[in-house]
Amino acid sequence: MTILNTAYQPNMFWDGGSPTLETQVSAPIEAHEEMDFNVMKVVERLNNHPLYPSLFRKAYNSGPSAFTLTRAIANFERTLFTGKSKYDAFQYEKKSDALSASEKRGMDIFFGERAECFHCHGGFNFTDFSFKNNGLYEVYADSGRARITTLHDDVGEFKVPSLRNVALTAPYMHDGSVATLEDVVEHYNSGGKPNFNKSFLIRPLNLTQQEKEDLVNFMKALSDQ
Amino acid sequence: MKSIKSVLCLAVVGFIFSFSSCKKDDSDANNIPNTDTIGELSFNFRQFVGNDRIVYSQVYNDTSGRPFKITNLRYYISNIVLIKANGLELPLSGKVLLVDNEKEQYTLGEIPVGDYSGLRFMVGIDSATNHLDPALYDASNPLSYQPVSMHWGWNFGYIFMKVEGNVDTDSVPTGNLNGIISYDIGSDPLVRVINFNHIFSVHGNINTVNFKFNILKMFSGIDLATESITHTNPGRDLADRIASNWLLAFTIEP
Repeated sequence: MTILNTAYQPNMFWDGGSPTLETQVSAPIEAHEEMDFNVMKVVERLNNHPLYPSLFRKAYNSGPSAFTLTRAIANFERTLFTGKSKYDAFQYEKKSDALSASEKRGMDIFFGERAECFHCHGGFNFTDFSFKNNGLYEVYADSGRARITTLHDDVGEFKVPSLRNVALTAPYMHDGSVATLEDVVEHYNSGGKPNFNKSFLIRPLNLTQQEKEDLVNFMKALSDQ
Repeated sequence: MKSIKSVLCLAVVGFIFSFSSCKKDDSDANNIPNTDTIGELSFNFRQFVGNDRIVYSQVYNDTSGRPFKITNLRYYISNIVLIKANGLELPLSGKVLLVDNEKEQYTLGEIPVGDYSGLRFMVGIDSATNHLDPALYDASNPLSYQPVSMHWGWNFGYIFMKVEGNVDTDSVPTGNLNGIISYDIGSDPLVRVINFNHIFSVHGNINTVNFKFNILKMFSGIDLATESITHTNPGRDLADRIASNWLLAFTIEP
């Protein structure tokens, strides 16, 4: 999942387990699978750095601390915007030739009632920020949203990711188990695996080979130029 | 002394034309605790395996004879309420203790002198506090990010109790500590409030209540050979049994 346009996210992580960009900071620092480190030890290192203490004081009137560290990273992340794709030129700058014929056909499939992609991947960020079970597995190793809510009805639900720059963010799905956009389309075209909690929108689509290619081409047109 | 203060007080009132009255109680007016009414109270927490103090890396046996050792033991105590002999309850609002096996004494600050008949506290952090941003606290506050992390970094909140160590997981123990003990216990439903009937009094500066935490009681009904790891979720049932055993594990020592 991209962190571009992350300022729009109402919560953080695939399971929505962190409410703000500020509180999110500690997780990658401390998670055993990621940095396996510690927020206060990062603060200690920053305080011993030749440059950072003065930069922090300049920005926050106070040196590196858990507070200023988390504000600084969150505020940096809020500056990461995207919105200059071929699709944006077509849709918002009204350049009718910005998309190819295949990309336009893909767009119609994306926003149409046959594939219904836009119901979840709608809006400026191509996500409604909801949590959905997309039938990737019959039994999920990661319980997803249910880890936060402890509700059985949330098992296997993960946040709908933004599709901006999606051609640049392989591999796909919450666990990176799908290698290419073609394979992603193949998954949705198949209707996914049976799962008690699967979204009702996930069902066989019967797209032709050409339609699948068009859909992939449309998603590639969401990359920033 | 009293007359000088009264004069000063009157002078201040005269200068700023304040509507507030001069307070009769000198100590109150000066924010200096009066030792006739305010004393200091500490809680001591000592961790045990049965009757032996927990020393990191020393090997002990559980009640089934299974060898284990503890290498890290920390827990949060909050929502402390002292109960006066007349039944009045005195909540120590906002006071949170992060008990570390390597530190025994935790001062509660200024407490009204008098006789008390009991107290209670919460093991863990209440739901209103549990989901706030730890970065908002000063580094000296136990609720801030800790050098040994006591927060999950997501909205589950604080790790109420962290227990780490090693255990012999062989079906017939051989003394080889081949397994890991790793309990990270937390989440709102797992707080436990423990009530103590305990007669004590607060007078002067040195008043102490001594708590014993017996880890063998926390292991009651738990098979360390197969149940030595839970980070609460998944594995919630084990975490829930551990939390319920806190009610047995904490006692007050004379």
